[in-house]
Amino acid sequence: MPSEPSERIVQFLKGLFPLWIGAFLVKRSLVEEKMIEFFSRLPVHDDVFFMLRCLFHMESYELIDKELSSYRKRKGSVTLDRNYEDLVLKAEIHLMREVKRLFDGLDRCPGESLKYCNRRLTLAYFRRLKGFVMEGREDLFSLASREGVFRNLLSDMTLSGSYSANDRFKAFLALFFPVLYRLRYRIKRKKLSKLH
Amino acid sequence: MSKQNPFEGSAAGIPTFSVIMPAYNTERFVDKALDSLLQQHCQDFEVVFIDDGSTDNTASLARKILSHWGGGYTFLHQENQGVGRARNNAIKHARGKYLFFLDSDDTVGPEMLGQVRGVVGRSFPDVVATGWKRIDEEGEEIEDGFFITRILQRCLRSLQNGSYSS
Repeated sequence: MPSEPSERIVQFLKGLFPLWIGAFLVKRSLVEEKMIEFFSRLPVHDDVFFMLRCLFHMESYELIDKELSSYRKRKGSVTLDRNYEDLVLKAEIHLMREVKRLFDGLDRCPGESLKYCNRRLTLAYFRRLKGFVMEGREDLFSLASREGVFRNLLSDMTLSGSYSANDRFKAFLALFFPVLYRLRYRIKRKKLSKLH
Repeated sequence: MSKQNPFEGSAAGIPTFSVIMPAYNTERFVDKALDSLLQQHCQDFEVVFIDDGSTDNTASLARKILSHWGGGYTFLHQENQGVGRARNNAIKHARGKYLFFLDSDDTVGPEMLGQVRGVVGRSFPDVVATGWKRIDEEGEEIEDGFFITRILQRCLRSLQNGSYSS
Protein backbone atom coordinates (compact mmCIF):
# COMPACT_ATOMS: atom_id res chain seq x y z
CA MET A 1 0.00 0.00 0.00
CA PRO A 2 1.46 3.37 -0.91
CA SER A 3 2.39 5.37 2.13
CA GLU A 4 1.56 9.02 2.58
CA PRO A 5 4.32 11.62 2.77
CA SER A 6 3.47 12.14 6.42
CA GLU A 7 4.41 8.53 7.01
CA ARG A 8 7.79 8.93 5.49
CA ILE A 9 10.71 9.10 7.79
CA VAL A 10 14.34 9.51 6.94
CA GLN A 11 16.44 7.37 9.18
CA PHE A 12 20.06 8.01 9.82
CA LEU A 13 22.66 5.89 11.44
CA LYS A 14 25.76 7.13 13.17
CA GLY A 15 27.88 9.15 10.80
CA LEU A 16 25.13 10.03 8.44
CA PHE A 17 26.27 13.23 6.87
CA PRO A 18 26.71 14.28 4.23
CA LEU A 19 24.37 11.99 2.39
CA TRP A 20 26.37 11.57 -0.74
CA ILE A 21 28.84 9.27 0.89
CA GLY A 22 28.44 5.96 2.61
CA ALA A 23 25.83 3.36 2.02
CA PHE A 24 22.39 4.33 0.88
CA LEU A 25 19.39 2.11 1.30
CA VAL A 26 15.89 2.84 0.12
CA LYS A 27 12.61 1.03 0.41
CA ARG A 28 11.87 -0.87 -2.77
CA SER A 29 8.20 0.05 -2.48
CA LEU A 30 9.11 3.75 -2.63
CA VAL A 31 11.23 3.25 -5.72
CA GLU A 32 8.52 1.26 -7.46
CA GLU A 33 5.62 3.41 -6.37
CA LYS A 34 7.29 6.63 -7.51
CA MET A 35 9.12 4.99 -10.42
CA ILE A 36 12.42 6.42 -9.26
CA GLU A 37 15.29 5.53 -11.54
CA PHE A 38 18.95 6.29 -11.86
CA PHE A 39 19.81 8.80 -14.53
CA SER A 40 21.17 6.60 -17.25
CA ARG A 41 23.04 9.27 -19.17
CA LEU A 42 24.88 10.93 -16.35
CA PRO A 43 28.55 9.99 -16.52
CA VAL A 44 29.11 10.68 -12.83
CA HIS A 45 27.11 11.28 -9.67
CA ASP A 46 24.12 9.31 -10.86
CA ASP A 47 23.87 7.96 -7.31
CA VAL A 48 23.70 11.48 -5.90
CA PHE A 49 20.80 12.32 -8.16
CA PHE A 50 19.09 9.07 -7.33
CA MET A 51 19.24 10.00 -3.65
CA LEU A 52 17.98 13.47 -4.48
CA ARG A 53 15.09 12.00 -6.41
CA CYS A 54 14.18 9.77 -3.47
CA LEU A 55 14.29 12.76 -1.14
CA PHE A 56 12.32 14.83 -3.62
CA HIS A 57 9.53 12.29 -3.68
CA MET A 58 9.61 12.16 0.08
CA GLU A 59 9.38 15.95 0.09
CA SER A 60 12.42 16.22 2.32
CA TYR A 61 13.37 19.61 1.00
CA GLU A 62 15.76 20.56 3.76
CA LEU A 63 17.76 17.43 3.07
CA ILE A 64 17.76 18.17 -0.64
CA ASP A 65 19.19 21.56 0.22
CA LYS A 66 21.93 20.02 2.35
CA GLU A 67 22.66 17.42 -0.26
CA LEU A 68 22.94 19.99 -3.02
CA SER A 69 25.15 22.15 -0.84
CA SER A 70 27.62 19.35 -0.24
CA TYR A 71 27.39 18.35 -3.88
CA ARG A 72 28.31 21.85 -4.97
CA LYS A 73 31.16 22.00 -2.51
CA ARG A 74 32.57 19.06 -4.42
CA LYS A 75 32.28 21.17 -7.59
CA GLY A 76 29.23 19.26 -8.71
CA SER A 77 26.92 20.97 -11.12
CA VAL A 78 23.15 20.90 -11.23
CA THR A 79 22.99 22.40 -14.68
CA LEU A 80 20.22 21.11 -16.87
CA ASP A 81 21.44 18.75 -19.53
CA ARG A 82 19.51 18.75 -22.77
CA ASN A 83 20.14 15.06 -23.11
CA TYR A 84 17.92 14.15 -20.21
CA GLU A 85 15.49 11.81 -21.80
CA ASP A 86 12.61 12.31 -19.47
CA LEU A 87 10.61 15.50 -19.05
CA VAL A 88 9.59 14.65 -15.52
CA LEU A 89 13.23 14.23 -14.59
CA LYS A 90 13.91 17.61 -16.09
CA ALA A 91 11.12 19.10 -14.05
CA GLU A 92 12.44 17.50 -10.89
CA ILE A 93 15.95 18.82 -11.44
CA HIS A 94 14.46 22.22 -12.16
CA LEU A 95 12.54 22.16 -8.92
CA MET A 96 15.57 20.98 -6.99
CA ARG A 97 17.49 23.96 -8.27
CA GLU A 98 14.58 26.15 -7.31
CA VAL A 99 14.51 24.65 -3.85
CA LYS A 100 18.21 25.38 -3.52
CA ARG A 101 17.70 28.95 -4.68
CA LEU A 102 14.92 29.51 -2.20
CA PHE A 103 16.96 28.09 0.62
CA ASP A 104 19.84 30.31 -0.42
CA GLY A 105 17.41 33.19 -0.11
CA LEU A 106 16.45 32.05 3.33
CA ASP A 107 20.08 31.95 4.33
CA ARG A 108 20.34 35.66 3.74
CA CYS A 109 17.70 36.14 6.38
CA PRO A 110 18.16 35.46 10.07
CA GLY A 111 20.33 32.56 11.06
CA GLU A 112 17.39 30.66 12.36
CA SER A 113 15.27 31.27 9.31
CA LEU A 114 14.56 27.62 8.73
CA LYS A 115 13.39 27.27 12.27
CA TYR A 116 11.37 30.42 11.97
CA CYS A 117 9.77 29.19 8.77
CA ASN A 118 6.80 27.15 9.63
CA ARG A 119 7.56 23.69 8.37
CA ARG A 120 4.00 23.00 7.34
CA LEU A 121 3.79 26.20 5.32
CA THR A 122 7.16 25.65 3.71
CA LEU A 123 6.12 22.18 2.66
CA ALA A 124 2.83 23.49 1.34
CA TYR A 125 4.74 26.07 -0.66
CA PHE A 126 7.06 23.50 -2.21
CA ARG A 127 4.14 21.21 -2.93
CA ARG A 128 2.48 24.03 -4.79
CA LEU A 129 5.62 24.60 -6.84
CA LYS A 130 5.91 20.89 -7.47
CA GLY A 131 2.30 20.81 -8.63
CA PHE A 132 2.94 23.59 -11.14
CA VAL A 133 5.99 21.78 -12.46
CA MET A 134 4.18 18.50 -12.85
CA GLU A 135 1.29 20.20 -14.63
CA GLY A 136 3.68 21.98 -16.96
CA ARG A 137 2.49 25.40 -15.76
CA GLU A 138 5.83 27.13 -16.03
CA ASP A 139 4.17 30.56 -15.91
CA LEU A 140 2.57 29.88 -12.55
CA PHE A 141 5.73 28.22 -11.34
CA SER A 142 7.86 31.25 -12.21
CA LEU A 143 5.35 33.60 -10.66
CA ALA A 144 5.12 31.62 -7.46
CA SER A 145 8.86 31.21 -7.10
CA ARG A 146 9.43 34.92 -7.78
CA GLU A 147 7.06 35.76 -4.98
CA GLY A 148 9.49 34.17 -2.61
CA VAL A 149 9.03 32.22 0.53
CA PHE A 150 8.42 35.01 2.98
CA ARG A 151 5.72 36.70 1.02
CA ASN A 152 3.92 33.40 0.73
CA LEU A 153 4.38 32.66 4.35
CA LEU A 154 3.05 36.03 5.31
CA SER A 155 -0.03 35.69 3.16
CA ASP A 156 -0.63 32.18 4.41
CA MET A 157 -0.30 33.39 7.95
CA THR A 158 -2.81 36.12 7.32
CA LEU A 159 -5.20 33.73 5.68
CA SER A 160 -4.97 31.03 8.27
CA GLY A 161 -5.32 33.44 11.16
CA SER A 162 -3.89 30.85 13.47
CA TYR A 163 -0.70 32.73 14.16
CA SER A 164 -0.10 34.95 17.10
CA ALA A 165 0.59 38.66 16.81
CA ASN A 166 4.13 37.88 17.91
CA ASP A 167 4.60 35.46 14.97
CA ARG A 168 3.38 38.08 12.54
CA PHE A 169 5.60 40.72 14.07
CA LYS A 170 8.60 38.37 13.72
CA ALA A 171 7.73 37.67 10.09
CA PHE A 172 7.35 41.39 9.39
CA LEU A 173 10.66 42.11 11.07
CA ALA A 174 12.43 39.30 9.21
CA LEU A 175 11.09 40.45 5.88
CA PHE A 176 11.60 44.19 6.12
CA PHE A 177 14.19 44.65 8.85
CA PRO A 178 16.39 41.56 8.84
CA VAL A 179 19.15 43.36 10.75
CA LEU A 180 16.80 44.11 13.62
CA TYR A 181 15.48 40.57 13.53
CA ARG A 182 19.00 39.18 13.72
CA LEU A 183 19.79 41.49 16.64
CA ARG A 184 16.66 40.40 18.41
CA TYR A 185 17.55 36.78 17.85
CA ARG A 186 21.11 37.25 19.14
CA ILE A 187 19.88 38.92 22.30
CA LYS A 188 17.37 36.16 22.85
CA ARG A 189 20.02 33.50 22.29
CA LYS A 190 22.35 35.12 24.79
CA LYS A 191 19.57 35.17 27.34
CA LEU A 192 18.83 31.54 26.72
CA SER A 193 22.48 30.52 26.98
CA LYS A 194 22.75 32.30 30.32
CA LEU A 195 19.72 30.43 31.58
CA HIS A 196 21.30 27.10 30.64
CA MET B 1 -2.38 4.38 8.10
CA SER B 2 -0.28 1.72 9.71
CA LYS B 3 3.32 1.37 8.72
CA GLN B 4 4.28 -1.77 6.90
CA ASN B 5 6.66 -3.98 8.82
CA PRO B 6 9.63 -4.73 6.56
CA PHE B 7 10.14 -8.07 8.25
CA GLU B 8 6.68 -9.38 7.43
CA GLY B 9 7.95 -10.69 4.13
CA SER B 10 10.93 -12.54 5.57
CA ALA B 11 8.85 -15.52 6.57
CA ALA B 12 7.50 -15.76 3.04
CA GLY B 13 11.01 -16.00 1.61
CA ILE B 14 11.32 -12.33 0.77
CA PRO B 15 14.62 -11.00 2.07
CA THR B 16 14.85 -7.72 3.91
CA PHE B 17 17.65 -6.47 1.66
CA SER B 18 18.41 -6.70 -2.02
CA VAL B 19 22.02 -5.77 -2.53
CA ILE B 20 22.44 -4.27 -5.98
CA MET B 21 26.00 -4.57 -7.25
CA PRO B 22 26.85 -3.30 -10.73
CA ALA B 23 30.35 -4.06 -11.97
CA TYR B 24 32.49 -3.01 -14.88
CA ASN B 25 36.09 -4.19 -15.13
CA THR B 26 36.69 -4.44 -11.41
CA GLU B 27 38.39 -7.81 -11.23
CA ARG B 28 40.92 -6.42 -8.74
CA PHE B 29 38.24 -5.52 -6.22
CA VAL B 30 35.12 -7.54 -6.88
CA ASP B 31 36.22 -10.54 -4.81
CA LYS B 32 36.83 -8.32 -1.77
CA ALA B 33 33.51 -6.59 -2.25
CA LEU B 34 31.57 -9.82 -2.52
CA ASP B 35 33.48 -11.50 0.32
CA SER B 36 32.72 -8.62 2.66
CA LEU B 37 29.08 -8.84 1.68
CA LEU B 38 28.64 -12.59 1.84
CA GLN B 39 30.31 -12.73 5.26
CA GLN B 40 27.69 -10.48 6.83
CA HIS B 41 26.48 -11.72 10.20
CA CYS B 42 22.98 -10.91 9.08
CA GLN B 43 22.22 -13.14 6.11
CA ASP B 44 18.75 -11.76 5.45
CA PHE B 45 19.58 -10.52 1.97
CA GLU B 46 19.83 -11.45 -1.67
CA VAL B 47 22.44 -10.28 -4.15
CA VAL B 48 21.56 -8.88 -7.55
CA PHE B 49 24.86 -8.74 -9.39
CA ILE B 50 24.92 -7.14 -12.81
CA ASP B 51 27.94 -7.24 -15.06
CA ASP B 52 27.94 -4.15 -17.26
CA GLY B 53 29.80 -5.69 -20.18
CA SER B 54 33.16 -6.15 -18.48
CA THR B 55 36.04 -7.12 -20.72
CA ASP B 56 38.17 -8.60 -17.94
CA ASN B 57 37.47 -11.48 -15.53
CA THR B 58 35.01 -9.60 -13.36
CA ALA B 59 31.98 -11.62 -14.43
CA SER B 60 33.57 -15.04 -14.08
CA LEU B 61 35.07 -14.18 -10.71
CA ALA B 62 31.77 -12.91 -9.37
CA ARG B 63 29.84 -15.89 -10.70
CA LYS B 64 32.29 -18.28 -9.08
CA ILE B 65 32.09 -16.56 -5.69
CA LEU B 66 28.31 -16.31 -5.76
CA SER B 67 27.86 -19.94 -6.82
CA HIS B 68 29.68 -21.07 -3.66
CA TRP B 69 27.43 -18.98 -1.47
CA GLY B 70 24.38 -20.63 0.04
CA GLY B 71 22.13 -17.57 -0.21
CA GLY B 72 19.92 -16.31 -2.99
CA TYR B 73 21.40 -14.35 -5.82
CA THR B 74 20.64 -13.19 -9.34
CA PHE B 75 23.41 -12.87 -11.87
CA LEU B 76 22.72 -10.53 -14.76
CA HIS B 77 24.72 -9.47 -17.75
CA GLN B 78 24.20 -6.56 -20.12
CA GLU B 79 26.13 -4.88 -22.86
CA ASN B 80 28.08 -1.93 -21.54
CA GLN B 81 25.45 0.76 -20.95
CA GLY B 82 26.73 2.57 -17.91
CA VAL B 83 26.27 2.14 -14.21
CA GLY B 84 22.95 3.99 -14.03
CA ARG B 85 21.22 1.73 -16.49
CA ALA B 86 22.83 -1.30 -14.88
CA ARG B 87 21.37 -0.35 -11.53
CA ASN B 88 17.96 0.30 -13.07
CA ASN B 89 17.98 -3.12 -14.68
CA ALA B 90 19.05 -4.75 -11.45
CA ILE B 91 16.26 -3.06 -9.49
CA LYS B 92 13.72 -4.80 -11.73
CA HIS B 93 14.99 -8.17 -10.47
CA ALA B 94 15.16 -7.24 -6.80
CA ARG B 95 12.71 -8.77 -4.34
CA GLY B 96 13.95 -7.41 -1.01
CA LYS B 97 12.16 -4.84 1.10
CA TYR B 98 15.12 -2.48 0.92
CA LEU B 99 17.47 -1.81 -1.94
CA PHE B 100 21.10 -1.43 -0.94
CA PHE B 101 23.47 -0.12 -3.59
CA LEU B 102 26.99 -1.41 -3.17
CA ASP B 103 29.67 -0.78 -5.76
CA SER B 104 31.94 -3.62 -6.78
CA ASP B 105 35.03 -1.76 -5.59
CA ASP B 106 33.60 -1.05 -2.11
CA THR B 107 33.49 -3.23 0.96
CA VAL B 108 31.23 -3.31 4.00
CA GLY B 109 31.91 -4.22 7.61
CA PRO B 110 30.56 -7.58 8.82
CA GLU B 111 27.98 -5.95 11.11
CA MET B 112 26.65 -3.48 8.59
CA LEU B 113 23.44 -5.14 7.45
CA GLY B 114 22.73 -6.40 10.95
CA GLN B 115 22.88 -2.89 12.32
CA VAL B 116 20.71 -1.52 9.55
CA ARG B 117 18.23 -4.34 10.08
CA GLY B 118 17.98 -3.34 13.72
CA VAL B 119 17.17 0.22 12.72
CA VAL B 120 14.67 -0.55 9.98
CA GLY B 121 12.97 -3.05 12.26
CA ARG B 122 12.22 -0.28 14.72
CA SER B 123 11.06 2.59 12.55
CA PHE B 124 10.57 1.28 8.98
CA PRO B 125 12.23 4.32 7.38
CA ASP B 126 12.03 5.01 3.66
CA VAL B 127 15.69 5.85 3.42
CA VAL B 128 18.71 4.85 5.43
CA ALA B 129 22.13 6.43 5.02
CA THR B 130 25.28 5.37 6.83
CA GLY B 131 28.80 6.63 7.37
CA TRP B 132 31.84 5.67 5.40
CA LYS B 133 35.55 5.11 5.46
CA ARG B 134 37.88 5.77 2.62
CA ILE B 135 40.52 3.09 2.19
CA ASP B 136 43.42 2.54 -0.16
CA GLU B 137 43.99 -0.56 -2.25
CA GLU B 138 45.58 -2.35 0.71
CA GLY B 139 42.55 -1.64 2.83
CA GLU B 140 44.33 0.97 4.95
CA GLU B 141 42.06 3.71 6.19
CA ILE B 142 42.65 7.15 4.68
CA GLU B 143 39.78 9.08 6.24
CA ASP B 144 36.32 8.49 7.57
CA GLY B 145 33.02 10.29 7.32
CA PHE B 146 31.88 10.16 10.90
CA PHE B 147 31.65 13.83 11.46
CA ILE B 148 28.59 15.85 12.22
CA THR B 149 28.48 19.59 12.00
CA ARG B 150 26.46 21.79 14.28
CA ILE B 151 23.62 22.26 11.86
CA LEU B 152 23.43 18.58 11.20
CA GLN B 153 23.47 17.83 14.89
CA ARG B 154 20.38 19.94 15.13
CA CYS B 155 18.75 17.88 12.40
CA LEU B 156 19.75 14.72 14.19
CA ARG B 157 18.23 16.03 17.38
CA SER B 158 14.97 16.80 15.63
CA LEU B 159 15.09 13.33 14.12
CA GLN B 160 15.49 11.79 17.52
CA ASN B 161 12.51 13.80 18.69
CA GLY B 162 10.56 12.33 15.81
CA SER B 163 9.91 15.71 14.28
CA TYR B 164 11.77 15.21 11.06
CA SER B 165 9.23 13.10 9.25
CA SER B 166 8.15 14.74 6.06
